[in-house]
Amino acid sequence: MSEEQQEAKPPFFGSWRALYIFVLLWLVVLIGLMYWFTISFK
Amino acid sequence: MNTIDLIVLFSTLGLIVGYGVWKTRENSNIESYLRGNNSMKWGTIGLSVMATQASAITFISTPGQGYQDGMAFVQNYLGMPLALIIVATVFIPLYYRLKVYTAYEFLESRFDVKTRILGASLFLIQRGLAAGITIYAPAIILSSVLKWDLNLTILLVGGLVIVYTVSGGTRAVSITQKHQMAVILIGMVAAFVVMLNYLSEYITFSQGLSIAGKLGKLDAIDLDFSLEKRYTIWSGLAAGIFLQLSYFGTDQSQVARYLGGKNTAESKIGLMFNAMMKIPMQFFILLVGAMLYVFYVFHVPPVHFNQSLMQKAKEENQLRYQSLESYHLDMGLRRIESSEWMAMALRKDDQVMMNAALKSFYTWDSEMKRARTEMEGLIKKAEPEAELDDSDYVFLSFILVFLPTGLVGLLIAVIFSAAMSSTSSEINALASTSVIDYYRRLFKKDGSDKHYVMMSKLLTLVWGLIAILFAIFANNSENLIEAVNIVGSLFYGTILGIFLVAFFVKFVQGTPVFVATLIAQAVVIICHFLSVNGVIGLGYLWYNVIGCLLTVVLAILLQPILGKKAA
Repeated sequence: MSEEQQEAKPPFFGSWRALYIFVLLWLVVLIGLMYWFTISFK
Repeated sequence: MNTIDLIVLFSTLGLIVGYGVWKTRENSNIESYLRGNNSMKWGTIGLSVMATQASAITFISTPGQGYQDGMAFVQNYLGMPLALIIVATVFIPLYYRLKVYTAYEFLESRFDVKTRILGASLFLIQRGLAAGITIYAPAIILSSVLKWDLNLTILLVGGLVIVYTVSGGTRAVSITQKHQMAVILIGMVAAFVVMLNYLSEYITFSQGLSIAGKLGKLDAIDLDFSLEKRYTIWSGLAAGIFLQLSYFGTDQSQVARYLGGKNTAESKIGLMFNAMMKIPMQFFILLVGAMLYVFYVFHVPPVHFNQSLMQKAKEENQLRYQSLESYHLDMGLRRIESSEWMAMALRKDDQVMMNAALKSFYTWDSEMKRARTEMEGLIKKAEPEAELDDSDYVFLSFILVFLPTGLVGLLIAVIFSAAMSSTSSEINALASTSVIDYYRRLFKKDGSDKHYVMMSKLLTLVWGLIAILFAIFANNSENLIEAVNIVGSLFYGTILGIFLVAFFVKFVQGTPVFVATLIAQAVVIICHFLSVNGVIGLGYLWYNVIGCLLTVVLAILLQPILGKKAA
């Protein structure tokens, strides 16, 4: 693997794809939590 | 504000500005001045991107929005993580590969110089006007609440921003934003804790949430498919991607933040930090507003939060003013009794008692609203042009009346910091676009680094002064803010259209996209005039969609005709 490619790797999660999936899952979790929050205190 | 608050305010602002200037005192070349020597790590980039987006109005208006309409506004940000992933995967690698200083440089390598100048011009018009408003909008509220002179408040914000932005360029903007963001977050959390402490005399935090929920303030997610509702999960996801992509991908005030990164990885992580933290932050600020509503359920709020307008109503008809104020107070005290009844029902978990308490609450609440409506009539009589929406004054009013000495100074520093952080990004971006896309490209291609740094500093100063002058000579906030929003919407869609064609429609050449942009821009402006004159009914946010789609579609259609000629 070239130096450039190594530098382009994210410091967490091993690959960018894994990081983006994590961010999307985070969004889904946030929406779920906010929906739970909405119905819990209605 | 007393002396201690003033000391806290000015020492906080002074320390941030002083540190920013000192830390970035040596800027010998253009690379260092406009891209911060590509030395920034993801934490600085992330906080800087966040601080650029969060203007003072965010911290003044958003709690007011939570107070008035509840938490639904948070859905506006749901599309942001998706948009930031697209920026990280498509925009950042290209900008880095081409080693650009501004987003518009990319347009020349993809299309031609005229398309680059067109994109840069659209940005300068839109952002140049917005920079004035970023100073003016909080200044008018702060000066009214603190009883400071409006022009002095504008000069204080604008002057401090000019000092460190001219001196340290992009790096100073990012470094100061990191500290400004820290002050902002500490201040907001402190205000929230104090508010909960006051509330603990009546209810627990969980009971406070229950009351806010029963009063319809905690509806964060709305699954309704109605297009008429302003905020739903669907509009947030769909429109959110569109708007945030345009803002983060093509607006130089944001592009400059992540182009200062050490490498693409630091920039991408900085954006992912925002993708993860922005929604919780907005949720928290709205929750502060919703809990502020609960706070005022157990305290009698003023009839109108804008005290300068209340003073005008008093001068108009003192007797009527006093009778309305006394009636409002009486109804407010009765409403507090109903609220205490609600708290008791929650403690006993008694639904019947809760329903009766809610019914009683709404009875007294509607009487309070009646008194308020009559007071608004009095205000209008005294000042026909007065803006009656007082939601921007709710949080500031709470800060000044209920927060302890010292914390008031810190919270006012929060508002000033937020105003300064977004303004500094704007004038820094305006200066880099003016130098790189106009001066260096069209007038002086072979200048020395020292010369371009000097020109960048000069143009930062010029744009800062233009923003201050625009803010000083603006005399009607409501119309002006609306006007600037309309101007922004007039241009944002077409700019995004150019970039979308550049990235995703590879066969389209410069001339077709240039002509398509001009036609799309003309159509948007015509739509605006037809809408203003009542010929068509079209909300100005739709200009973004029309401008973008028209640019993309026309560019594709014009390619066979104009593309061949250009080739």
